[in-house]
Amino acid sequence: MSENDSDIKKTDDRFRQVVEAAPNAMVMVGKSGLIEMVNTQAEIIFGYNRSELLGQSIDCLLPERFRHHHPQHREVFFSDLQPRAMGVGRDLYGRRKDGSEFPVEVGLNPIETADGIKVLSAITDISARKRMEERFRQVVEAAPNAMVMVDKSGLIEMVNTQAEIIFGYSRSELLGQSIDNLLPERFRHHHPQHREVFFSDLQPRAMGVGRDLYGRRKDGSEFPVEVGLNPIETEDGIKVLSAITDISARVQASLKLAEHHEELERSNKELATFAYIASHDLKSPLRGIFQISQWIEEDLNNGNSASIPDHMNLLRGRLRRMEHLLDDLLAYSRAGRMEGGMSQVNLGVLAQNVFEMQAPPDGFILTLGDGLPTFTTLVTPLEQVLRNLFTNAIKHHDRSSGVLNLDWCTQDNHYYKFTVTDDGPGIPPQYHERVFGMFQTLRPRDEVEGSGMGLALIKKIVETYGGFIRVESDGIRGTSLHFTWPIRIEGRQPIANNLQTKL
Amino acid sequence: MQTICKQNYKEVTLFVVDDDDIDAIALERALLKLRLLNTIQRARDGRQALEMLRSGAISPPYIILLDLNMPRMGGIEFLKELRMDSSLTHAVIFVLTTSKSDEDLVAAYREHVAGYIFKQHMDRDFLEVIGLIEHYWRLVELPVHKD
Repeated sequence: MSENDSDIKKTDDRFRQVVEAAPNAMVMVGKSGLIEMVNTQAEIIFGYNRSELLGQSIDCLLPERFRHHHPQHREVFFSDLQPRAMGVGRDLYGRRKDGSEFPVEVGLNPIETADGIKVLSAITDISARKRMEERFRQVVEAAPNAMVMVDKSGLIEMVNTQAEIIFGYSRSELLGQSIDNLLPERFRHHHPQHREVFFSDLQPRAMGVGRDLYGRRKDGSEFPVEVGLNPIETEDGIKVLSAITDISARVQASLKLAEHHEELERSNKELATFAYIASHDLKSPLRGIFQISQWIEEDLNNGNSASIPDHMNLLRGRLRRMEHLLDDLLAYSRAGRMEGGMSQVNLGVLAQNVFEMQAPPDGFILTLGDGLPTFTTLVTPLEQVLRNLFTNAIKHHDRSSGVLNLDWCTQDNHYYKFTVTDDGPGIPPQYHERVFGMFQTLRPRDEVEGSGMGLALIKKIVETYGGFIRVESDGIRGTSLHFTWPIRIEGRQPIANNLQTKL
Repeated sequence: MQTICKQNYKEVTLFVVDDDDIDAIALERALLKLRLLNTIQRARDGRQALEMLRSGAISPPYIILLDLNMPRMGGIEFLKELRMDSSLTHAVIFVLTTSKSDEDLVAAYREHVAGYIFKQHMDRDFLEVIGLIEHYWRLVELPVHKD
């Protein structure tokens, strides 16, 4: 053996030792694909003895379905000798002696030896990693909210079933697409910028704190969302895993809560007004009655019986007033509840009937606008509104004859606007707000008997059905009261009714 | 006694601002009972009261007995407008009301009323009130008027 030969032998031994000591399986093959060297790791992961492998084709370590193409791949590799990973983008599998398969990663290295070019493959069993990946996928899939993983350029790499459900896309429609498709168009412009900021400071955080976020479904509709962002390190770089929650229900609930809150505030205010009123308006007739009884006593003691009939009249007046106040207060508290059923009504006929029921004094007439609508609605409250408006117009009229007019138009497609106009003394503008308060009268009750509840009652009824009422008058002659009434009342549940059904 | 009676050269007018006829009658009866001959004049709400005062229909010296709950213009609103009117701002006013509300009480004193009298009891009230006011006008110098 020459010195040169022994040098070569020494190098060869060292090479074998390095291969043997490698932490993963190493298999060296020649150009024809026959195995020339294996290490212990290779024996372990494939389950063969070294002697069983040496001299065999490398194809015996591949599942059968891949063997067919392998010689071709090998040729390509030998034609362009460069260290590289095998089968980039494909899933590679090894095959054990017992026929079972396992996922592998293979690195290929061309090696020049004395008897030609060989390929040294480093083979890693990646079952554990695959299992981890699979587990991650399962965790994402099992998450109760939608999860979408995107890469740095915003392309979707993974979604779960929840994401499919809330956005209305199928998985295949989402993968590989830009995440921007899930945003309303008006937000897309700024999104790449936001994404860049996130990638420059990788920290789990909520998206768009303080802003309202919206998702966009496949059908173009939008819904409010909450988004949590998590950076995830993967083998091919940093990804962002977003957890997206559809908060429509929550937003709806908080809107409803705000609505109830408002309603509660309104009814509290009403209660406070009521307490105030009870202490004054309801008490004052009582005080009056007490006083008159004293006068009667005094006058009788003084032998002055001539004043008694007057006192008695006054006394009965107070009793009647008290009764009125209580009746109207009851009507007010019931407004919007005693609504009876829906029925079709010809408003012209209804108005004429209501007007005649008032037994208006001779000289008062009602004129009707053209083509007053016939529609299906809750007749009782509408009738109540008209009745009170007509009563007011007649009671407060300052002349012995007068003309009331009822006219209409549609408003916003959802409401009729009705207008009752009279030619009475009018209401000066400074009182336009006050007239809708409870127990508000513009003239002393001793002049015009009235509870001051009429307009308050009408306002409450109209607002129960989502309408509004407004007074228009120059305070010199004539008053117009405009109120809106829903064209289709079904589906609109008055709040007062809801409360009642709960009780 | 001479000095005290000096003011009676011209009896004080009681200007009642109240929408309730019975209260007005009750005040008259109380005056009668106490054998007082002061003139009573009456407005039914704040707006009318301001009109009467501004037109000079109420001859000074006068004391205003003011109700709070009235149509068109209530007592507190009346007080605010009156205090802003330089020719009326000095008026001596007693609030006479059924309102027990603290808000009303505070609001009334903020407008410098001479007293806030609560019409609580139904019986002896007006006698007491008129009695008090009689003492008040006999002892207290009311603001001097230009005329």
